[in-house]
This record gives sequence, structure tokens and C-alpha cells, in this order.
Amino acid sequence: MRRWLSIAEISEMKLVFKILIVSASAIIIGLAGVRAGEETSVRLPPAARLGRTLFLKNCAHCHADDATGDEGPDLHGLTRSDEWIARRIRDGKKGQMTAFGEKFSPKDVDALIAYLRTLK
Amino acid sequence: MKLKSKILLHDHNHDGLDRRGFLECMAWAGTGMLWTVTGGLLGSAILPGRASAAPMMGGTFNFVQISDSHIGFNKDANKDVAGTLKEAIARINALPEPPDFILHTGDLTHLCEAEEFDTLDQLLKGLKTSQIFYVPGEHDVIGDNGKKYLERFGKGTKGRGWYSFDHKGVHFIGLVNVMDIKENGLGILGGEQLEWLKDDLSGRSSETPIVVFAHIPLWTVYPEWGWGTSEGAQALSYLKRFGSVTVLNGHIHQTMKKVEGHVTFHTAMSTAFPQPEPGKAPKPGPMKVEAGKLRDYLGITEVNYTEGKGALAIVDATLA
Repeated sequence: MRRWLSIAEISEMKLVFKILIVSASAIIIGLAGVRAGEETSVRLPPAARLGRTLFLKNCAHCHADDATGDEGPDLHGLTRSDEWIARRIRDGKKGQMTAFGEKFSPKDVDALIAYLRTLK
Repeated sequence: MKLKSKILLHDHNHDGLDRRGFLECMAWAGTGMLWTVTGGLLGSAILPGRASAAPMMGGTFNFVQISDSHIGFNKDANKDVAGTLKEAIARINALPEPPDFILHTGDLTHLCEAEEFDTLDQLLKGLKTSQIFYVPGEHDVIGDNGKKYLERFGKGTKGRGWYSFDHKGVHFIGLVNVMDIKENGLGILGGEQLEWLKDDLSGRSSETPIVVFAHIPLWTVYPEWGWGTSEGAQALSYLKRFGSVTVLNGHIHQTMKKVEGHVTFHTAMSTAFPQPEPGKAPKPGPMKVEAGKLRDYLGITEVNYTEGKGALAIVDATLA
């Protein structure tokens, strides 16, 4: 037998519906954020996140935002050792690449290498 | 000296310089145009030839802007940037009226190496004009937060290299917007510099002609490529009350002009290599042009000021 809902029940249902809508929106926005930011904040470990920031501010100028290379080479799939990369970052290459030894701390260099290692 | 045939006219008061379409209204490398600002109202005229061919009248002075020399760059876009800088110097030395001084709007070097700074210094000693004012480009500070740049050019400056000076009634302000540039490449001035700017301008008569120079454009040219300054609008808000403001920038390696109210924005050509027009390449960067055409894209900017009349004229000339 059909029963009419009371005003209190209707109000409660409206509230539940609103909560569901808000929750779904939050999930959608969150997923979109992950997609838009890709590896920026969610997928990268903390050290690589710092490395990415440093990369975009200092290295992207020559290696491109996506590190696929421009004036400088593509940095994906580097096979050099961490020590070699750290030395290149610190000392640069005469006439080819800026030396960052006076700017980056050892922690910065480690972070950059951590980021570069995520570029497959 | 050849001037390319594409010459644009803008009468800010009546010709409907369309803000939406300002990118289409830009004057590209090699064009020549005379801008006059009188009492804050802007007019323009086609240059019949070299503006400098006109005799200087009494009570006037001129100066030259050069930019983006990128000493140390050696890629295909220009394998002899020292050579093209020498050509620019020769052009300046050949001006009928020697400039009172030179403004270099940054990217003196390409890799921020000491040898590059030294080479630039040696080359600029070839100028007959000994007074040169500098602001750094991001290439000059990228490796050491400006240490080498400030050691050489920071004497007497404030903060991280900004300063101002007066010359024959005109107030010049050199801003630094390349320290700690943002992830998206936009320039940044920082709170300390903005406070200094506000203080520097306070108490000055609004009739004082102002010239602001910095490396990255203070106006938003093309944010997708980082061609703008994030706090540019705030800086410009301090300049609104002045009747004649000229903003000179480099960084984008091509001439572009825009007028907003009493403010004229102008970017200069590089002496080293061109970059693509905004959005017409996947990304910015050195652009290789047809053999023999490079000098059509490189050049200098001459600025003439007439005391008393408030007139300011900006003239671009290529190295071709």
C-alpha cells in the first residue's frame, strides 16, 4: 500500500541526496585533478616532486617542460649513473650547459635526479 | 639601413587599436615606427627611413636599447652571436647623434658563465658611448642566483639589482623580474621590489616622464610561453598617474608594441637570434631562419626624447 512521506522524511532524503551530489562532485573533481596534474602531486614521491619544481624553474628552458629536449637533449630514459648526472648538474658542460653548483644544494641535486629517474 | 616594408600605424585615440587583436597589431622584427607621446596622448608616424637621420634639436637626448645578446650561444640559429653584437655596436657608433647612454635589457650571456660575461664586457668596450645600464635576463642568473651578474653590474643597485636614475628630466627605473621565475616561466618582481618601486615613485610629479626597463615583458604578451610578469599589473598600477610611461623589455626576441592609456609597451629585437611569433611554434626558443635573413630579425632600438614637449619616440632598426 502506497504511503505518503512525511515532511521530515522528505527533508532527510533531500539532505542525503545533496550529500551524494557533493561527494560525487568532489570525486569527479579529484579525479580530474589527478589527470590534469599527471605526475605532479599524486604520483610522484616527495623528492621527485621537489625535483620537478626545480626542473620546471631551471631546466625546462632548454630541455622543454616535458623534458623531451629542445636546445638541450631529451632527458627520458637516462642510462648514466646518479653520480654522473649529479656532476653534470653541478659543473655543467662548457659552452653547452649552465653549471648549477652555486645554486643547487646536494638535496636539490638529489631531488632533480629522483625526478629524472621517473622519466621513462 | 633597410627597413622592412611592413609598417604598422596606431593612433591610440581614434584608430581603434583593438586590445583583443593587439597580437595582430604588433610590429615584427625589422619594422620601423615612430611613436610620439605628448601630454600622455599617443600618436604615431611612419618612418621614412632612419629616424636618426633627422637632426637632433636642442633640448633633446637619445639613448639606445639593446637586448638578448646571449653571448655563448652557438647553435644553428646563430653560430656567431659575438659577431652580430659587434654589428649592433657598429650601428650604434654610426648614429649621427651619439646616444647619451645604452640600456641592455638582459640575457647578456647564454649560460651564465664568467667567460661569457667577460666577452660581453670586452665587446661593449667597442661602444663609443661608455655609460651602459643593465638589467639581468634569466640566462644571466640561472646558474648562481645572479652572483656573477651582481658582482659585475650590481654596484649601487638595490635588493637583487633594481635601481633608478634621472636623466635630463626623465626618470628611469630598472627592474629585475628574472630571479626565481615561476614554474610557468612568468617573470616575478617580488614584494620587496614592488615596495621599493612604490616608494621610488612616491612624491614624484605625475608630469615626470617615466621609462621602465626590465627583461621579461611587464605586460602579458603570451602567458602560455611565460611571456609576461605575474605582478606586472601591480607594478603598472603605481605608474597609472603618470602622464608618460614607456616600458622597454626584451626576452621575446622580436618587436612588439602595445598602448594602454598613457603607457607604451615595447619589446626589442635580440642581437643574437629570433624566436617564433607567439603561438606559431610548439614552443619558444631559438629560431633558425633562412640563410641570409638572420639580420632582418636582429637589431637595436633607439629612443629619442624632447625635453619640454614630453615627446618620446621609439625606433627599431634591424641589422640588415
